[in-house]
Amino acid sequence: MTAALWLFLTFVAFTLLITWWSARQSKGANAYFAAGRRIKAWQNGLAIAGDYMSAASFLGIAGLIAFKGYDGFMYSVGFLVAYLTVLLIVAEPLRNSGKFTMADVLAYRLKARPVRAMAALSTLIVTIFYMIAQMVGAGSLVKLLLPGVSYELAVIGVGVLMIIYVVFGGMLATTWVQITKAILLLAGSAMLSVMVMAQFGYSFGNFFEAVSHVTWIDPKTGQEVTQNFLQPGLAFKGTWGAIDLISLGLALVLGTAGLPHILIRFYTVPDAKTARLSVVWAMLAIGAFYLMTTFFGFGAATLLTPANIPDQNMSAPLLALHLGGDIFFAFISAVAFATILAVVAGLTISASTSFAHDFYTNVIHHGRERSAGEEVRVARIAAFVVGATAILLAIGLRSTNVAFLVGLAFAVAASANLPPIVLALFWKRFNTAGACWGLGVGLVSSIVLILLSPSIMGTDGNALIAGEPIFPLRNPGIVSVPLGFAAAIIGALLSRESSAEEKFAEFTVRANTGLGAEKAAAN
Amino acid sequence: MPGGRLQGQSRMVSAQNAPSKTDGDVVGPGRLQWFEALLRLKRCQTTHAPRGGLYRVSNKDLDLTTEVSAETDVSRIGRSGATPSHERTADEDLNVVDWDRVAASSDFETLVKSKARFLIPATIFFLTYYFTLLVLVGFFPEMMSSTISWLGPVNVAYVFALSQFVMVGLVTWAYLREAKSFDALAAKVRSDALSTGGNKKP
Repeated sequence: MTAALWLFLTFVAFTLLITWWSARQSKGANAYFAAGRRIKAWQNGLAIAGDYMSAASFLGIAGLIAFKGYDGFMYSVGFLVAYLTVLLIVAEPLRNSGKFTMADVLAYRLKARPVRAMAALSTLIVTIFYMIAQMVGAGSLVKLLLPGVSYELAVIGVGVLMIIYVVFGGMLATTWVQITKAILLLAGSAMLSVMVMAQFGYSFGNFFEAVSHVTWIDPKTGQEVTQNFLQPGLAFKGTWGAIDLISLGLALVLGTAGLPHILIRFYTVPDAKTARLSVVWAMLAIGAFYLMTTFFGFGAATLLTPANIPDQNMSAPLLALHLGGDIFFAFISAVAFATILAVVAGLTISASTSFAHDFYTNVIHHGRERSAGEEVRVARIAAFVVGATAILLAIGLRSTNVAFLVGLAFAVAASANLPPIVLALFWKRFNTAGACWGLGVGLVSSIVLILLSPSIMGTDGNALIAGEPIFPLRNPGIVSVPLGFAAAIIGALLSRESSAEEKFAEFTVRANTGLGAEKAAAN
Repeated sequence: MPGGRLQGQSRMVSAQNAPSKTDGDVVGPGRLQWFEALLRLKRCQTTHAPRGGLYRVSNKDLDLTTEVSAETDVSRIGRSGATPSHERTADEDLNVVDWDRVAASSDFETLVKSKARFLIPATIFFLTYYFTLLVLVGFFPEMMSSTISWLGPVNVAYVFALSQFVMVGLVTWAYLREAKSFDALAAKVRSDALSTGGNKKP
């Protein structure tokens, strides 16, 4: 157990070194919020991967595949396909027409204050929900891995570290923490996958043969169960299950392109072409990782069988213990921590940037800094406040099952953020009312539908709200995404905004050519 | 309010001057700071009202210009905000671009059309391919469980899921290939717009 602690402390020391190095370089808003726009394509690609592959991906999907087989793999597929939306639709125009935040693209030709206020609200909601899910996960993980460390200590530790990265190191430190984590995660998954395949004599035939006949004794009933884990339908059963699967797919494929912490990564590169290439690098890393979930997910199913995994989320670390002993278990656990740290750092800087740039400077102070460097100062304070809030919420929600919060973040991103972004980019007639309606309806509908769903409501004692679920799906996307789009379109059609239409020519020229785009800082 | 701003500014200037204090002693740093602070104040009032919103003023950062240049050098006051017009490059002075004319130029129209010609079908294709998997797996799990004879236990569902990875690779590869021509066209539109202020006859 202490090996895990030492490995993790080494990682922490290394990231603090990165932060110290970044803090010495960081000067000015472009440096703080966008790493001087000098990040290279491969670096940003790995950083996107590091920002994106959360504990939910690593621990969550491994567990899902180990218990639900093929249906768990559906998450892997969706998480990767989502990057085509980012690549084809969002990344380049965003880089060309924005400055620091997601709202920049909306505010370009619409009325800045209402649009930014709504977008900042949506950003804060998405990032804080997502962050709480990560931090509660971190706390529970520590409890299992390091019995000596309490839940509170783990949550506070993660929170303090993310605050240090963001407050002192800004985007540059966050980027390098994410790159380090992405490399560690890929290396850990590759080692785990090779070790699994070694058990099957490196033969795919043997491997899949075993996956299709997994036999174990159910600890509850004492009966022998044989399961084909390649068979679809273990998690998404029946008609509602099928609709839920499609709904999940919608949230993943459209939500990724609306996640604020992913979008702001495109401002860290010099131009749109680099933004495009960085998506491709990210896809290589993410694609490789999600392909490997097959090996360690199914590996856990066959080598451990569900009977020997007490906690679904511990599938990957337990598989590491089984295959590589204590040291490898320690390494994989440290990788899982690194994963959480890098993701929460990305979320913190996204939330604080949005607060400082969108809300403080542009909504409250009409787009002007009252003194030089004010925006960065406010962002640093906001990062501190966001971090502290997340720590308190994570401690307060310690015994709650918060896994649904990640799904909620994707649903809000897909239903509230994406429709206005897409419409602002491609529809001349789009306007402020449309953006506000879209953001508002998308936000409210996804939150309300989740509250009424089986994730929150249930008749057994564990549910947050007692009672039969009113909405049958766990993923609200299939209803809330069309609602978000419809509200944005109807809102736009109900009002006319000539200034927004007049600026469309300028906006499309900028978005498509990069004319007048934010430049990289000089060396 | 103006007083507050003035103080903030002069504090900043003195902080910047600190490293080169010995060099500046000849001129008298105290007076210089006031002069600069005043100039800064003036600039804030006169030039910080960009006509087109946030993006016209690209850099409101702390001024990072080194303090070693001659006192008369205007750029010393700042790279941010308004540089005197004679010092601006066309690229910096975005207002010289006639956006409507660029938007109407034939090169730009070709760019937008050729992008749409690739991106719309590509997006429809990948969404269809992806949701076909979800619909088939969700509604017809039995059918999708049928195995393929030469693949042993591996079933149609798993092969289809793996093919999504291949599909993502192919669409990305195709886009990267197409994007070369988009980049070339975009570069042409940019250079035309900046050399003629967008006033070139289409």
